[in-house]
Amino acid sequence: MNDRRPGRGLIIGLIVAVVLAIMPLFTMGYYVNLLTVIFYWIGLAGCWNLMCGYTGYIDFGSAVYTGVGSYVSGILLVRLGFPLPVCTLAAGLAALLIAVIVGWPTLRLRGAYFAIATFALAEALKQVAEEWTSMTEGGIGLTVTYRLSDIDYYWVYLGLAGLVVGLTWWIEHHKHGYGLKAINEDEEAAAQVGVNTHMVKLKTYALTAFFIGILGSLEANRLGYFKPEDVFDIHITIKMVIMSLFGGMGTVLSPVIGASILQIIEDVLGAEFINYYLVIIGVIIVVVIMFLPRGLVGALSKIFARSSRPKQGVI
Amino acid sequence: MLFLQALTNGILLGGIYALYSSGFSLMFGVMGVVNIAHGEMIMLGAFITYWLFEIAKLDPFLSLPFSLAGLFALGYLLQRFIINRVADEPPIASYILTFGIHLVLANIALLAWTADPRTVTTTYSGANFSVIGIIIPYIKLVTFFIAVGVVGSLYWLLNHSRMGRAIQATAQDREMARLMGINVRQIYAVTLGIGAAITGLAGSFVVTFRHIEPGMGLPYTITAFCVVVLGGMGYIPGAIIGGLTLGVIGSLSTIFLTSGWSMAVTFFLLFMMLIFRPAGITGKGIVE
Amino acid sequence: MKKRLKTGLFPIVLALIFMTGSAQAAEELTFGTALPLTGLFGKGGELVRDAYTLWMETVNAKGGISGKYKIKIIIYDDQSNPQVSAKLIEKLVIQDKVDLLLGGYGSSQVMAASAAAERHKYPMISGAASSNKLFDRGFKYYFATLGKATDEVKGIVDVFASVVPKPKTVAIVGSNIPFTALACEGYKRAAKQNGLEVVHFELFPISLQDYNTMLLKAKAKNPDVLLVGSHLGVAMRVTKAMKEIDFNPKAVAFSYGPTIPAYIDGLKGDAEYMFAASEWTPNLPYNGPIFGSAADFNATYKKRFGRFPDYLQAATVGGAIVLQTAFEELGLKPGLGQADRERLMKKLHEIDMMTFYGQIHFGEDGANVAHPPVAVQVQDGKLVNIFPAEAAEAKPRYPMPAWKKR
Repeated sequence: MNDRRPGRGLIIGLIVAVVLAIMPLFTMGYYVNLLTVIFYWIGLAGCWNLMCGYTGYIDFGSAVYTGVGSYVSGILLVRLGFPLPVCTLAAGLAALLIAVIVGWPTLRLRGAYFAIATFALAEALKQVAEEWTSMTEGGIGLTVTYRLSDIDYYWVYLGLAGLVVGLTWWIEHHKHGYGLKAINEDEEAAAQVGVNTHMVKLKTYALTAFFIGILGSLEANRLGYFKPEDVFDIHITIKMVIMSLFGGMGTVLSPVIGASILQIIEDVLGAEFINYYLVIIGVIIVVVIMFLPRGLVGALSKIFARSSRPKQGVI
Repeated sequence: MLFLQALTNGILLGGIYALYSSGFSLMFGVMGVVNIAHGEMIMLGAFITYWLFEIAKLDPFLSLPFSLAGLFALGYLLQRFIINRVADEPPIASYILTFGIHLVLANIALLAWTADPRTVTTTYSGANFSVIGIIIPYIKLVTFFIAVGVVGSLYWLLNHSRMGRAIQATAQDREMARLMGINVRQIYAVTLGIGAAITGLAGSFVVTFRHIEPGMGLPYTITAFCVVVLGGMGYIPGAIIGGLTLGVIGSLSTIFLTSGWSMAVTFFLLFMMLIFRPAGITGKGIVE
Repeated sequence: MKKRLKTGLFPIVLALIFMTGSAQAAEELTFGTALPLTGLFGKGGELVRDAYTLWMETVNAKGGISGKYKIKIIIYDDQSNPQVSAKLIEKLVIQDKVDLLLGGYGSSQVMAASAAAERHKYPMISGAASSNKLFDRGFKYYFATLGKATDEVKGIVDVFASVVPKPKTVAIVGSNIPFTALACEGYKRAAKQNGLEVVHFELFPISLQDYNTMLLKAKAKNPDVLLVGSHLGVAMRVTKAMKEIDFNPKAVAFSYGPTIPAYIDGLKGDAEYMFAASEWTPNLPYNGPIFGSAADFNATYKKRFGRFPDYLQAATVGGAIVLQTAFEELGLKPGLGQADRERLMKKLHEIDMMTFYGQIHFGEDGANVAHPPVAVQVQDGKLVNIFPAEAAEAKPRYPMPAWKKR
């Protein structure tokens, strides 16, 4: 899909969004909950996908922003009593600021080094949260009693997920996105052609960190209680990675598909068969990489590219 | 005195770190593989020793050949039939692949052996002697010497044996090695086998001084990563330097701060190292 | 294609969701619970699952609750993750439509799960969570048969106040997670009450690689007694590390760990002399419905599972019995509605009964106020009750001989 006009895709997207938006008025509780969680992960995986799926840089430290987001907004809510929107915005900005500070030097690193650098920071900040008990309550955990209603979170997450996906679509079709893809293909060549690779990466990184921070802050008060190891957890990052991979990295819809399918499977199977489920996921990952190493990215996106050409008269 | 004891603890700990990290460095140095299933190799080595102790009452030291052989076989087969397939792909493929292997190994182990913590306690567990008032546990000391021995032997193997030179040649320039008649796939398989074997060996020691369970792997993988980055990725002797640095700094900051802050310090240190000196303390690490 | 994909996805999603909803048999009373069967507390979760299983089988063999309703329990794995625990409670309530909930394992998980249960107004009794914070929330539907974490450890510190020669100093270490951190607070308080000086206090991260240096700091202060806030893994590691650094306090006590058979099995001789806090031992003179005496429960459990229960399993089953009794006394039936559960909640606040686990009476905040802490020690490879004196099977062996002299 190379043309810049949103066209049919956007109309379909809007229809789906409206359906989803009014759904909670008719169904209840658990299903709303499930979809809320799915939207949350679409948002998170979407951010990871935007940063890493397009550039090919693997980030293992994304959870640092959910952690920062949760604690910044949690502390402002509980200790200073600021209203929720202020706390959430502050959380996003804190994440963005840290991303800029961290990203500036680390985005110069390649491959494995970038991954471990961001991860090291996540672990370091987790420990700080554990030890700084006067602010964070440390390992005992922070309880946030202020909470919106379940439906509110549903809509907010739906909105954020849509925003992230929409943003990804927009970036993909504009200059910034071309820069990202060029970096993925061949960073040196891209630099030579005049792409300011460092700034492209940094801007994307900061943008995604902002959203991850916001999502993290909202989730923390939706759940009402969290500890450092919950919100700085590498398994959050791992889940974001798997979801992006599953959907086929580097495409607009990959987080939507990956998050939806995996979260549903996890819900249906995971509660009773979590270990079997993880073994199966592991085997699938191994098999797919073995036989379609390029293909996980290439084959899937080719399938989507081929079939997203508008068909005649179908709506 | 406290300082000296903590320093000693740190040094001994560094030896253990070096032992289970050198395999990680080897795999990266030769094949560019970041082995996210590394911790599982430690776990499996530990469980081999544990089961031999429980079932056959075999002393942990006598179980070492089994974990060496067992993990060598596992590593060899993994590389030969699975990881080799992505040898020509960009590194991200190997991260994802080894990540999948990590999931499979850890969870199959969990299904087979449950999450019960287990440990091996022999009559000489925890036995120690003291030198000028500093207490040195025997097993940790032995592990330290074995670590030095293993790293040394590995280094020697790489530089002074035919196999080692073939490995080095392959690491430096795969195409050239192929042209020279080296069976690259075989070399890779053997290398991963060696790396896995050493790591399994480390696991066998680990079960004697702490408890083990199938989910223990990931923190070890992370520590190995840290050790190797500090010492220089792909530079084998760096595993000792990195291990000692991590061990000593961790130990001393536990004494002067708290154990919680010592972990924060360690990770910040790693972070700074990556920014300012990704090639590690020795400067000999491979920087992509 | 995009349209096909997106709108095609939706019905699949809905279909999957509806598919997994389950209907309820008429003569069954369904219970639901989320337990950590994997993850950090996997072992504990399994043991609680066994406890509920034993209760279910024993009651069903007698015909069921009220003599006619068979118990069915749906158990989900919360992976030792509080957020997952809460989510699973929602699933059990909304999707599986269980009649009643049973408490899980682990203060963090239960904290989150009980918040969800409170929202849906489902009574929840847990026998395996004791963080004080659980009771500070003003909840009406949450109950616990265990004492609060800070009170649980009081017994063991009182023991040390009564031995001869009386120790003067204690060091306290513990892992930095809710239950153990609170246990350490409890140790501090109890030490102060007993006139013992706290010379060292440190909480360490659960992911700490090396315990030797951390314990070295405690050793350097030369405490008479070491008090540890622990679960099984931490207890094992602390014991091994102490021996390695030749740390020889006159006594060591753990808030949890030694009461699980794997501790003694794994550590063998090194487990000897270790003390642990407890809430129940089989020799206590307790007697109640379903299982009979404490000793009977102990024997029944051993017969069913091949190992002895520890006090968490006893507390868990005790809680189930109270729930059952309240249900039966109200004459309720399966297919409970909101009003029924509210009556149950009020009944639970009134109930005051003796079980094989001991007296159970819930205070206004849901904590069991009728249950005294107990302490045990490993002697000759077995756990024996050494406190309170009225129920003790043996005297505490104090001081502990140095490692090298054993």
